[in-house]
Parts: sequence; C-alpha cells; structure tokens
Amino acid sequence: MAERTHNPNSADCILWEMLLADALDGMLRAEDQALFSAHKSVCPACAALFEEARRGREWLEFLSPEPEVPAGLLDRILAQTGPGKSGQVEGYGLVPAGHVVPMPLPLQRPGFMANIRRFSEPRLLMTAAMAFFSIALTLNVTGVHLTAVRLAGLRPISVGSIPGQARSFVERRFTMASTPVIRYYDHSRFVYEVESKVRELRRATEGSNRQKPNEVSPGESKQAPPAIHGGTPESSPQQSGNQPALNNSNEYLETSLEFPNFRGTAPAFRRLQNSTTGTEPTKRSTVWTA
Amino acid sequence: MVQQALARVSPDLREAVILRDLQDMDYKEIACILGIPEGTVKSRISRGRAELARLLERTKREVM
Repeated sequence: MAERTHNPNSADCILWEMLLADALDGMLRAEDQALFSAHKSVCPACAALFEEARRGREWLEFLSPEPEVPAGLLDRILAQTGPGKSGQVEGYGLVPAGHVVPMPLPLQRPGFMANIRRFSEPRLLMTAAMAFFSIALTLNVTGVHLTAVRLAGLRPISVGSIPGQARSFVERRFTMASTPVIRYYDHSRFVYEVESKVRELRRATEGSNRQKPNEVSPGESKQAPPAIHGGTPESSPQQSGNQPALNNSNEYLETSLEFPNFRGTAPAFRRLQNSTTGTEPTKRSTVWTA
Repeated sequence: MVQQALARVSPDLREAVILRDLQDMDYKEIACILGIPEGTVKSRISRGRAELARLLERTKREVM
C-alpha cells in the first residue's frame, strides 16, 4: 500500500524513504535535511507518505512506551492481597482527597509481607528443613529425643535430668573422672587403716605380754611367751590357724584374729576399732593349746 | 484498535515496526535481527507506519 503512494522505483524516492525514519526521529543531519525537504516538496507521493508515517508513529505511541510499574506497587499489592487481608488495607486504598492517610500498622506496611514472603521461598524453607532434620538426627543419635524434651527441662539446672534424656556431656565427663579418684581414695584409706590397726594391735599385745609374766607364775600356764603370738607386722589381720611349735616347750600356738562381717572398707574398720576400744565384745581370741 | 490494525500490517513491515517502536531497538540491532541492510530497515519502518495509519483511518471511517 505504501508503494502505491509514491514511486518506489525512483532512486530519489528510495533515498528519501531511507531518510524518512531519521527525519521522524529528529536525527536527520543538516545536509540530509536539505535533500529531504527538497524532495518532499517536489514529490507529492513522498509528502503523503511522510504524513502517513508521522500519523502511524503517533498511533504507535499509544502502544509505546509500555506503562512503567510505579515504585512499590508490587509491595502494596502483596500487602493488600496477602494472608489475613480480607479487605482493603486502610491507608493504601483509594482515599478521597483531603482525607488524612493514617499510619499503617507494622504488619500492614508495604514491604513487610514482602520481606516475609522473600524468606518463604521454597529453597530457603528447604534449607531450614534440612538443617532441622540434621540437628534432630544428631540429637537422636546422641540419645536426646525431641519428643521427651520439655520447656521446663531446658533450664540450665535441669539439663541432664530430663527423663529419657542422656546426661549432659560435662556431667558424664565429671563422673567418669571422679569415680577412679574416689575408688583410689577409698583403697588408700583402707590400707592406711589396716596398717594403723595392725600397729595398734601389736603395740597392745606387746604391752599385755609385759604385764603377763608378772601375773602368771611360770609353770602354771601353758601359754607360750606372748611376745611371739602377736604376729609380725607382715601378718594379715585375718589370720587363723595353728602356729608351729614355739620355743622349746613343745607348745602349740593358735591365734585367731577375726573380723566378722568384714565386707567393706570403712564399716569393717569401724568394727575393728570398736572391738579394740572395748565398746563391743572383743572378737580376738587367743587359744593356747598344749 | 491500534493492536488490531497493527496485526493487519504486512508481516515484514510489522516486525520492523514492532522492533523499533515497541521494543525500542536501534536500526543496527533490527538489521542484525532481521538480516537485512539498515537502509531497508528504515524503509520498512516508514512503510509500516504509513500502512498502519491508513488502516486506522479506514477503520475510523468505517466506525463513523
């Protein structure tokens, strides 16, 4: 149709048609402007084409440029159409002129829901879910079950005492370290008390033997010299049995030192101490047999 | 109405007009995309604009 308005086969018209686009854009150079105007004035077809192209360009301006999105339009739309927004958000709808626009609540401010929605992207939610799953799996492996965790159990004083929950790491380490120490202390104390009691017994025996020769006349007693039967320091408190013949008198010495109910460390020695101090009937028996 | 008229423009002229006036491309870019000389691009744009104007004038007369 454009070809019918002017002669497209003319070299001048072809050249002028190339300049037409620049002329309508206002980008025509000065030397081309003279040629363009001269041809338009002598060629009615090209002049008509110029008017039609100009009107067509004006019509196209209705389609172009594309309407620009106002700043914040998306946030306002999201604020009005987000969850919990049943109606129009006050302050962001169409308000009559002269009305005071109230300050919106923080939840209704444009951009707030957009920020929440921005963090509600599927990839972020999947990341958070994976992190939670990893933590839960780790706790489950270590013995902490999330179903057994209560809010009251999260206080520092009650951490480690939640039913079904394993002890805290620090408490476990402390227990593991303190148990051998306590056991070693008990054993050392036991040995020390045994040794001290043996020494006391030996001292007491020696003292009684010094008194006995004065009380008993020789020949009347069949007892062997008491200095021997007290036992050596190396002898155990639990000695029972017949001693070999002593001295030259063919007398047998039988010494029995018993600690009944000897099961532990401290209780046994308390009984031993009581027996030596006389609060309980003495368990030490010395039988002299000929 | 303008869209309907533009759809009736010849395809070669229409694509040149769309790339220039709607996509806001320069003539070199349109020439590269269409694979034609830059002078031909300018000629097609001018013819397409003129054809669109005639179509709209015809539509306007029909409506009136």
